[in-house]
Amino acid sequence: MDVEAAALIALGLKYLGAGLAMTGAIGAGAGVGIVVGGAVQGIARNPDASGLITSNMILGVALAEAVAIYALVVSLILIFVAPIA
Amino acid sequence: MKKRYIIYLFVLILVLLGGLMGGNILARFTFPASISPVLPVIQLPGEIVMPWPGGKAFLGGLFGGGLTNTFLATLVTFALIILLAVSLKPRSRTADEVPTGFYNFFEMVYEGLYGYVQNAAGKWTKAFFPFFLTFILWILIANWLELIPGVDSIGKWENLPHFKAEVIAEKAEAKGEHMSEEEIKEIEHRLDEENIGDLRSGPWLLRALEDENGEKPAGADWTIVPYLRAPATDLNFTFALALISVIMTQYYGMKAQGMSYWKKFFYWDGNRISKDPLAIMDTGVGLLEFISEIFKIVSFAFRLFGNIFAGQVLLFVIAALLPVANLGVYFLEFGIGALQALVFALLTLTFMAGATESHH
Repeated sequence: MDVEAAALIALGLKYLGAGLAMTGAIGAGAGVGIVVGGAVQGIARNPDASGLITSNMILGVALAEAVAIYALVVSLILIFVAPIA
Repeated sequence: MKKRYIIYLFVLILVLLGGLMGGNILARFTFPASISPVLPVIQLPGEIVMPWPGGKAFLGGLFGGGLTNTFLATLVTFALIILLAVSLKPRSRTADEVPTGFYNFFEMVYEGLYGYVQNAAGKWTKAFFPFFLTFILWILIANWLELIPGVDSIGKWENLPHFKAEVIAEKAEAKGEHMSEEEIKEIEHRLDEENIGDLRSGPWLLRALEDENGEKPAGADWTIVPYLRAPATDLNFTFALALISVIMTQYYGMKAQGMSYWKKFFYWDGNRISKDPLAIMDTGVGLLEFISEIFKIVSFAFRLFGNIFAGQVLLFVIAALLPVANLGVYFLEFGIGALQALVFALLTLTFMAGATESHH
């Protein structure tokens, strides 16, 4: 195999890896859904507590979302930090 | 009066149409492709806009190669916060007056946040509130800086082949191989030949329609290194804030509970374990908690960095493909910037409040 083809395949694999890293967002999506679903149910039962529930919900969403952000950072690093040419 | 609104409407329609047709997606049907926007070169570390005198050797290499644009933006944020404080302080002295305008709004927000911290922290309010409000103000202004036109887009020209050749030379230097000036020039020339589509003409970047193979060039030979870039797109900024947050959490934990605070992490009770070997589980749990404490730094830093950097990339890509869609992305980024500032401060507050409560 010549060098150019190998470099092209390596580039393709880099982008494939970046895409695959983002599968980590699946879990975060489910997590955020569960958190917000629970919060909405709580607010529906007790609308007076909506302020407290909302601020706790934002904390929970941020913690769940962090996992997706790790995946995002991995894929960003794969795309932008990997060696040039 | 009516004429003015017609002119406003006309300008708005022009902006919308330009935003719709100027992007790369529709440019081939509308304008000559030579003026369609170029996707900017996206780089993770902060770019150096002002090298130190003497380059990397400056002060023993402690401060890197120069002043980066992200650090410059951090200084701008700093100046803006000082400006805010200086402009608000005289108003607070005139207590008998009924507050109006921005001061009134700021006082309302301040009181709301103070009440929230009082709810969560109790007697530690006076200690935690400065951290809470500093994180919110600092990160909020730093994130919204990204949305000001000119930040991220006004800068100095940089030749890409030259830049790439320098990167390659630096990497060879790190491996111990020295490259001469001619070798670097040769690499630069080779990279220049690979992409000869774009030409710089004065302040404009004009693209060639096609190169000699009849293909439209994909990228640009010239790029702009912005003078200012959102600080949170640099890991140094977010890591510094995360370190402050986690270390001060430990400090307040120790202040509240003394040395027994560390029992939460390093638990060992020989008598109890000899009676009940399963009690060794508590030691393991404590160690796990210690690891998660360290991981909090990474979590804080990457959450802020990832959100803001991804937002910046989104703004760039949409601006090149379909500029009119950036109207929506702007609102999204506006909300995310505020949300991330709030989340950073709320998490710090929660962790600090948790550390001051004894857990047994």
